[in-house]
Amino acid sequence: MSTDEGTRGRGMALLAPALIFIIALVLVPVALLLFASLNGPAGFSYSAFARLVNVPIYSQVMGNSAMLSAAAASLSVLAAFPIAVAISRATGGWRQVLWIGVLLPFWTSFLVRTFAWIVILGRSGLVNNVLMSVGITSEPLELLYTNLSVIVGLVHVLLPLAILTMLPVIEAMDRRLMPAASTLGARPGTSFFVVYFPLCAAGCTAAWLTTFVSALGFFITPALLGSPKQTMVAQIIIQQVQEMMDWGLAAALALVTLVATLGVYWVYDKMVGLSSLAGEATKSAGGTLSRVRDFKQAVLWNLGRVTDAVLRLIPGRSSDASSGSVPWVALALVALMVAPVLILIPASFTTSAFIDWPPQGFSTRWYEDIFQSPVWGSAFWRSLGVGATAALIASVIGIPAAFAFAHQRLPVRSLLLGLVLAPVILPRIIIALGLFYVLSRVNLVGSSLALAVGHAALALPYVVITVTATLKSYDRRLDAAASVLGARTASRLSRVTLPIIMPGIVSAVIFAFATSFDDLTLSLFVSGGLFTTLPKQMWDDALLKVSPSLAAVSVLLFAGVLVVMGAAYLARAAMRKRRFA
Amino acid sequence: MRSAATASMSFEAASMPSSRGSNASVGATLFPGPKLRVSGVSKKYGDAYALRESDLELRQGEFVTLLGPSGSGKTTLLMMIAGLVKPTSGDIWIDGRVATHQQPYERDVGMMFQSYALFPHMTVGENIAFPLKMKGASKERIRDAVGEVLEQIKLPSVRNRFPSELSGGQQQRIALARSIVHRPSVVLMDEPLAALDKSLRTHMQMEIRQLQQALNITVLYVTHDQEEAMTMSDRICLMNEARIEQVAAPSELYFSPHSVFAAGFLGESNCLDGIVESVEGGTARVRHGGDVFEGRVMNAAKAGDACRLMVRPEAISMATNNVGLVQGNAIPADVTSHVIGGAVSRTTLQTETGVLLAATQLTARSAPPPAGTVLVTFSPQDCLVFGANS
Repeated sequence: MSTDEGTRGRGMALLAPALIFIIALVLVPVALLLFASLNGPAGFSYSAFARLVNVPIYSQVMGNSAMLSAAAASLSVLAAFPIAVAISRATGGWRQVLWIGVLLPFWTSFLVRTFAWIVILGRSGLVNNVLMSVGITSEPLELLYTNLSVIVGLVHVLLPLAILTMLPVIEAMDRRLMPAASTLGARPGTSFFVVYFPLCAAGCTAAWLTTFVSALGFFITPALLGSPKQTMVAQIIIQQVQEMMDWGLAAALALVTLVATLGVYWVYDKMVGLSSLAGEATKSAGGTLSRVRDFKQAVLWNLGRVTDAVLRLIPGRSSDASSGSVPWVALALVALMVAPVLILIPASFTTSAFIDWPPQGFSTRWYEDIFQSPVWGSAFWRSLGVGATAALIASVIGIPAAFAFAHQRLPVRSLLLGLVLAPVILPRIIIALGLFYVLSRVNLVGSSLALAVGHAALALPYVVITVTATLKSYDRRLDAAASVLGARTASRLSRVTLPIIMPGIVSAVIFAFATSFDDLTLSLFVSGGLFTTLPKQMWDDALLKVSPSLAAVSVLLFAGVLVVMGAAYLARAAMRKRRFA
Repeated sequence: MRSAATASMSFEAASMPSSRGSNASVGATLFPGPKLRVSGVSKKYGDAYALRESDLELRQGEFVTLLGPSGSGKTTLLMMIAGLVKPTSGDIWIDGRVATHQQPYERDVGMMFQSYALFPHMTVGENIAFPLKMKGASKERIRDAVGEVLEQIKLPSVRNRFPSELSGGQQQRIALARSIVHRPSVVLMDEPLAALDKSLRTHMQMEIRQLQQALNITVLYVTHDQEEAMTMSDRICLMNEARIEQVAAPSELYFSPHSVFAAGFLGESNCLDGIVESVEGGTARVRHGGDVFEGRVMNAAKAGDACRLMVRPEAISMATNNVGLVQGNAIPADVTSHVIGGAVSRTTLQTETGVLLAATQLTARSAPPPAGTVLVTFSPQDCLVFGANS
């Protein structure tokens, strides 16, 4: 079937809705936005760019953004690596524990995770409280609103993403390579630096790139955890649009960010190859200059030798090469990742009107407030409705596209894939700004449907990635068997294919819903003044004051995540049981 | 039956199991004793034995195969010798040195993995150079040794290619080269040919064996393919249910198996259950239904014991008449089918006691196919008697 002449046409037909969707909602708006940057009050002008260059604050902000993003991405990769290695090696129960520890924060709202750090690092927060009660300091340290707090917040938000990006590369490694190196005489240090690390490197750089690019578009963390000194470019863009109504400057900033992003991708492609981003193994290093390669190898060999020399000095090194030991380091890191969110639980039951540590007394008044408040109620229902609509649209468009990528031969496949994945490849602030620009022209700002369509565009890549991955492990001979047994296309899909890939589709739908439910960037622009979504309401509140009621909302959201993850886990367990009964 | 653990006492005294690491070395490579010695080695996971206390010895230049069904402990034993799994008890000597507590990288072994385990980011040359580099060999020495081994595996021109650019069979040879280039005392091979197709596998079997003999390498090989084991080995170590059943040369294992399992696992066997009437010398008289058979006693069977007779299909003759002239064992049976399977023809028979038997013969155009009731005969030499307690 896959060799039919008509297949190419079928693949494009399956892909067409997704392509049209992305072109209309991402590419065209971003292009229009870029034209806007060159559109002064009297027609064509460079004035916006001239201001970017001439006003020092802008170049400062851009430098800041790059510096903070790079630092956060580097630290994220450093912390993610031992966790990802531990997950790839762990079996059974520990693997489950580590996975939950990564996914729990991953699914928890950015805002919730950021609020937690205010409770921890604030003047009367957890850390200062502990330091002072132990007697290390006599007065509270200024931990919040510093480079440190912003970087900590960014790393906390980016860490799960870094782990999930590098893990496929690490898991794809042949498990026999390390034992092989060992039987060939390599000590642990040499095995690690000469064999293990070079094979993980592609995953690590992919994780760095992904986290760096998403950090470039962040505004929540610097706005809530930073001072004006830590202002990042997305904050300026929002400010220009919402307060100054200066589209030209906002668009120019977006353009610079876009060019910087594409520049980073270009360098990455030259060095590693973009295909490794999708978790695919990189080509052998045959292409790189042999002198560069020799140098890299010499460095790695020496690192290995030095490590081995040091290890030899340490007595009582672990002697059993077999796995199954407890991954302590990874567990500790994962605990550090989950704990901050848990801090919000006691904080939400305080009787005080401020978030202080330790919480004062016990009361459920903040929860009662929320449940009685019409504002929170309507924001919740609107988020739910928009999320469901967005998930539906993204699935209807994304699932056929996934079939095209997984099962059909496509011309310029990687280009098409890049196009469909554009909403996750580019910083979200740029896409949100472009969409807002277009919607404001056609007076659709404030429409729930417009917001849902925008969210569907943001969620589409996740649907395509998830379902494509599921389809790749789907045995296509089952399709052939169904056809031979008399099933036409429709009944083959409904009775064979879809039931088998259902877990993947369910995760895709949940992913799409969560993307919409958690989105603030687009909602900030597109949802109108009167109607707000839940993240928008939280954000508006947080800008005034991070209050115990916000902690209560956060805890409710976190509980929701727990319920959904638990339900998904039980559903999967039940399905597995039924299948192998 | 355990393997011949015939260690000399002086050797035992020279290197006590308790002494750790390389300071227990005896005479290094000039050591005249076994290249590999496994003594009382076992592995337990929780309460389950992956391998019960086992003994095995390999001489210089010997090719020994660990053969057995999955779960028989053969891979566990190999992994313990490589140092990738810690034994629960016992000791392992490699080239006269106690290696029990050594790390894999401290042991003088080479290993070939089923999945090849070639380093994908290194060229073929770098892969093969790896163990030499680990031993601290000079650049010139590495260059020469890699070139030489590439000649030996008949792939002289792939040095600068990456493993992914080679075919499965070529990758296999590179893995072989990498495991022998540093001249380890023992080369361990864990089902290295399992992933290859049949014709390539046969070819590689020959090539590995030739290279092993030409270079006088000591090899411990794991497989579950009995034909592969028979073809390649000097000796086969047959394993079952976490222990060694028998260690013997292929022909001995085939003609004189020490257990029902050994007789059944290698080749095909017909089974007849009976009662031992008497045992005299190595020969037993066994009653099965109304007939009495004579056979070689393979284990401790005595008069009155229940026992099992085993006869290879190719040892069975079928006589259609002249019943009175038959000497040795005979039992009448009905022919139920006759199939020409190529060079060998196969007859299925049912005795009057209800037992199904198979007989194979070389296919001959002139011979009429057996039919009706025939007399099945086989010599006492080809009839093996196993006491039921074995």
